[in-house]
Amino acid sequence: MEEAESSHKGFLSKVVSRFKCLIVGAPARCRPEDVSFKKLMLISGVTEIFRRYFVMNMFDGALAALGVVLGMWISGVIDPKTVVRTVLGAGFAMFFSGSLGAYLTEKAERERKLRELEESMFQDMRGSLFERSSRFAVLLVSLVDGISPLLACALIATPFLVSGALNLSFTFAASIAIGVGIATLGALGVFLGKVSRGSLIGYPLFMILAGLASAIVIVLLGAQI
Amino acid sequence: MSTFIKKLLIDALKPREIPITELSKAICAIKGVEEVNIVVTEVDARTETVKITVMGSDIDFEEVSRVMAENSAAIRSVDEVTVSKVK
Repeated sequence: MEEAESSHKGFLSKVVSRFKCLIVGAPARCRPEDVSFKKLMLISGVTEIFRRYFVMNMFDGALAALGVVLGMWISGVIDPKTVVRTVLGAGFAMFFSGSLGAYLTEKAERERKLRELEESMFQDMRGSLFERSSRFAVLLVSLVDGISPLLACALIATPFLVSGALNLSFTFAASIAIGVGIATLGALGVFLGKVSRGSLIGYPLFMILAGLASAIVIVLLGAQI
Repeated sequence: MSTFIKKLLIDALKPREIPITELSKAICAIKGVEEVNIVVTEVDARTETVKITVMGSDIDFEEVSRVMAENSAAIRSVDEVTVSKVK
C-alpha cells in the first residue's frame, strides 16, 4: 500500500518536474534541482516585481470594479446578471491587457539584460540558469499581472453572482459588493504595510480613502449628468 | 596506466545574480568531485570574478565546464591542476 502510494507520488513529482522543465525552456529530462522555483525566483529577483505588480493591478481591478458597480447602481440598473457580466467583462479585459502587456515589457527588459550580460561575459547564455530564470520571471510576472485585477473583479462580482440563489435584493448585493471592494483595498493596504515593515494603519487607510474618493466622484458625476 | 585529475583551480566569470552557494553545490554534485571552494576576487557592475577550487578523486573537466556553463559561469583560465597516476 505504502509502496503504491510512494510510486504514485514519484510519478506525480516526475510530471510536475517535466512541466517545470517545459515552462522554463529546459530540456524535458532536466534535473528537478535545475528548475526549482525557489532557486529561479531567487536568481531572477522576481519576488519584488511580483509584489509590486500584484498590488498595483489588484488595486486597479478593485477600483475599476467598484466604479462599474457604483456607476450601474446610480444609473438605475437593477439586474444582478448585467452587473456580473460587466464587472467580469472588465476583469477579463484587464486580465488580457495586463498579462500581455507585462509579458512583452518584461520579456524586452529581460532580453536586454541578457544581451548586456552576454557582452560582459563574452559568452552565449542560451540555455543557462540565468536565461531560464529570466524566462520564468517573465511568465510569472505576466500571470500575476493578469490574474490580480481579475481576482479583484471576481471578488466584487460574487455578491451579485450569489444574489439569485440567496434571494438578496439588488441594493443589498450592491452594498455587500462595495463592502467587499473596500475590504479588498484594506487588505492590499495591510499587505503593503507588511511589505514596507512600517505602518499597518497608514497604507490601508490611504487605499480605502482612494476607493472612497473614486466613489464620491462617481456619485457626483451621476448627479450632474 | 591511467591518470586522474585530483584538483583544479579555475578562474571564472559569473553573473552577480547567481549565488556562489548554488554554483558550488552544482559543481559538487558532479561524480568524482568531493569538495568545492569558491572565492570572489573581483566585483563588477554585472559580473563577479571567482576562483573555484575543485577537489576530488577523479574530476571530469568536461563535465565541470558543462555544469559551469549551465549555471551561467564562464571559464577564463585553469590556473592550477593536480593530476595523479595509478599504475
